[in-house]
Amino acid sequence: MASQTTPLAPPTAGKASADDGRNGPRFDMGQILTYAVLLTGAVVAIVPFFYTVSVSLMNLTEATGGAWLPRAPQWGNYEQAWRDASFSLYFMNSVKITLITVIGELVFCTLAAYAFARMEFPGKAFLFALLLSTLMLPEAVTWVPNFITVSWLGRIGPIPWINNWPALTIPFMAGAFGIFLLRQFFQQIPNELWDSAQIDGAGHLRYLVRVMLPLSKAPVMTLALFAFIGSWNSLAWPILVTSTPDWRPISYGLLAFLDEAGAQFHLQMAGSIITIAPILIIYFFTQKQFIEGIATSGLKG
Amino acid sequence: MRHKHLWMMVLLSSVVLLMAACAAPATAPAAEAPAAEAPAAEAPAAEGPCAPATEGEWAGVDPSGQTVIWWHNHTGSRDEQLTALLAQFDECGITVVSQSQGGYDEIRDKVNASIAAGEQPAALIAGYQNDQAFYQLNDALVDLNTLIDDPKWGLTPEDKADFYASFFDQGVHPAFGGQRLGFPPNRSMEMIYYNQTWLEELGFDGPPTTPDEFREMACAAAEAKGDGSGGFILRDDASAVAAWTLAFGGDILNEEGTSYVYNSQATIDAMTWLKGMYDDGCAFFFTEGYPNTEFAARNAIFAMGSSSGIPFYATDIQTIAEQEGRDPDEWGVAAVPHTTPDPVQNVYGGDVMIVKTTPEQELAAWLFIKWFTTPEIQAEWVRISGYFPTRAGTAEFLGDYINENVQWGQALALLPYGSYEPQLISYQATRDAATQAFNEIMQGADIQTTIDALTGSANEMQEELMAEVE
Repeated sequence: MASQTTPLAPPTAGKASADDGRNGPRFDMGQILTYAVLLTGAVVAIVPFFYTVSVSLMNLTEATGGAWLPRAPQWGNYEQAWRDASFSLYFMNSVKITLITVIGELVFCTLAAYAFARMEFPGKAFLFALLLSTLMLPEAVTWVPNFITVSWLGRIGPIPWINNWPALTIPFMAGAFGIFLLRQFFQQIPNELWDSAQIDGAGHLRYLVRVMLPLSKAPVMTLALFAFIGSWNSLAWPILVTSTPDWRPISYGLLAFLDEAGAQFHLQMAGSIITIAPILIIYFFTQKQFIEGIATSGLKG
Repeated sequence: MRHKHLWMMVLLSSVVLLMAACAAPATAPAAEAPAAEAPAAEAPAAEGPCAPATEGEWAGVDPSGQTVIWWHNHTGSRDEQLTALLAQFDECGITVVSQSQGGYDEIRDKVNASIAAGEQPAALIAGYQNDQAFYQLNDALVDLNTLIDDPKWGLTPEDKADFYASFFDQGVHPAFGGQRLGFPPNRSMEMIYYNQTWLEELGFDGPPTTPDEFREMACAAAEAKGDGSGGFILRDDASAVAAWTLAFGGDILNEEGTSYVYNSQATIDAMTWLKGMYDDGCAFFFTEGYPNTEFAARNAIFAMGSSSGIPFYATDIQTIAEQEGRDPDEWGVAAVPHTTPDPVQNVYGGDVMIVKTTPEQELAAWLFIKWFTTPEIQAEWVRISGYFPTRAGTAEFLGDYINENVQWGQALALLPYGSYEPQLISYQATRDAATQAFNEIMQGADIQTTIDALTGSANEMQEELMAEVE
C-alpha cells in the first residue's frame, strides 16, 4: 500500500535522489528535528523521576545541598520511610481499596459502555452528553456533594459508608472516563457479530461477555491501569471520608514526612518511591495492552 | 462451560461484595462517639467533683463516662506522643480519642462537608479563628463563655488571669455577639532564625534588630557565598506579610478590627525593602517546603518561620553538621527586625473548638480542654511539641527545658510583644490572596497597585460574608 511509505523513507524522485550515494550519508532535517523533540521530551519526563530515586538514596545533607547523586547510597532510607510512615497498615489498606475499586469499575463501566454503544433507549444521547459533562468538573467541586451522598447512603444502608470501604470505592466505580473509553472501542466492533450472536440465541449479556470482552482486552487493561493509578494515588477524598487509620491509603502515610515546620526530603522521596512502585510494576507488565488500548479506543491524538 | 463466561459479570460483582465482607470491620464513624457509654442505669452522683451542677447553664448535665473524639492536625511522632499524653487524662471517666486528620485544611474540609451532610463532626476540633467564624454561620459551635464562667465547671479568676491575654481573647468574636468560639491549647510566633557562627565569621557580633542591620548582614553573607544564595530565605506566606507589616509599625487590620488595611505605609515600606533585598541578591526564594534544611546546610544566614520549627532546626543543624564532619553552627532566634522602638511579633496558632452535640459531650469536651491547659500538662505539651504554652504559670514547670533549649527560651522572652492576625471570617481566602500578592510584588508588580487591589478584594469578600452573618 502506498500509504505505508513512512515519512522517514528517503525520497525516491527529484534532485535529491540524484545525489544519493555520491555525497555520503544524508541527514533528513525533519528526522533530526523529530528525534530532538522526542529526546527532549524523554529527558523532561525522566529527569524528575531519576532525581526522586537519587534523593531517596541520599542523606539529609546531600538532599538539601543540591547534589545529583548520593556519595554512598543510603538504602536504610527505605526501611526508615516504611517504618515512620506506618506503610505496613496503609499499604494493605491501599491494596484492598484499589482492588475493590478496579473490579467494580471494570464491571460497571463495561456494562454502561455497552449500553451506550450497542443499545437503543430514550434519551441515550442526552444521558451520554450529561455523563461526559461530568468530566469537565474539577474533582474538588464534587467532594461535598459526594460526601453528602455517601453519608446519606450510610445512614439508610445496612453498613456505614463513612470510615469504611464503600465511601472509598463505590463513588469511583462508574467513572465517565472509563465508560467513554470502553464505549469508543465497543462502537468499532462490527454489527455483523451481534447479528450472528443473535442467530445463535445470545442476548446482550452473553454477547458482551463472550464476544465483545474477548475482543476488548486492550482497552479493558487500559481502564484497569487508569483505575488502579487513580485509586492508588488518591488522598484528598480518603482523608475526607476517614477519621482513623483503619482504611486510610498509602498516600496518607507520606504526610508523616511533612511535619509542621520541616520536611525530611530524603525520606519523603523514599516514601514516594515505595508508594509508586506498584504502579510502575503493573505498568511494566501491561504496557503493551495499555498502549494498544489508547491507540484503538480513539483516545490518541 | 458455556455458562462460565455468561456469568462472569455476576461473579465479578460478587467478588467485590465478598472482598468487602472479608475486609476488616469498619470502626464506627469518628464523630458518632458513644454518648451512651455513660452508665445509663446508674443515677449520677449527687456530690463530688463529677456530680452535675445544681445551678448555672450546665445544671443537671452529667459528663461522666463520655467518649470525646478530637480531630487535630498533629502527625508523625508528635501525634504518637500526644496520644500518650492523653492517656493521663482521668476525670469523670471521660475518654478522649485523638485522631490526626493531616492538617488544618483537611479538618476544615471535613467539618464543612460534615455540616453540609448533616453528619456530626468530632466533638472537639482544631482550627483557626477564621474557621470558627465560618462554622458559626451554621451555629455549629458552643459558646465557651458559658463554660468558662460556669460556677462549677468554669475557670477561677486566678486561672483566667494566668492566660496570656492576647491568646485568651483571640477566640472571642465581635461579629457573633462576643461569643468565645475557640480556646487556645498552644501558640507559635513568627521568628527570624540566624546563624551566629556565620555572623561572627563575617565580623558581626549578633543578630540584627533593625531592617538596615539585617540587610547589611544578609548581603554580606550572600556576597561571601557568591552563588545567589547565602542571604535571607524569603517566606511568601501571609503570616510573613503580616509579621513584616507589624515590624514596620503598621497592621493589616483597621483599628476597629473589622476590615483589612494591606495598603498602609508600613506594608508599602516593608514590601519595598524586601523587594530591594531580593533584587540585590541578598534574599532568595526557596520553594521546596520549609527552609530549615537550607538554613542548616549554610545556604542562608537568615530564615523566617514559626517558632514551632525550633526542634526541627535543631535536629537538622546537628544532623547536617555530623554528615559534613564539622561542629554544629551556633544559632538562635530573634524578633523580626523592626522600625518600631520595641519588637511587634506576630503570634498565631489554632484553637480547639467544641462542636454542638449533646450537653454531656460538650461538657466532657470542656473538662478535657480545662485539663489540657493546666500548667502541668501545658509544660508536657511544650516538651512534646515545641509550641508556646498559653499560660504564664507553665514557666515554673519548664525551668530545665528552657535551660536545655536556649532558642526556645529566646523566643519565649518575646511573648510580651505579641500581636495577632485577623480573626475575620474571610481570612482564609485572604491569606491565599496575600501570598499571591507578595509573589507578584517580588516578580516586579507595582507595589501600590498590587496591595490596593489586595485590600479591595479582601474587604469585598469580608463584606459579602458578613452580610450572610447578619
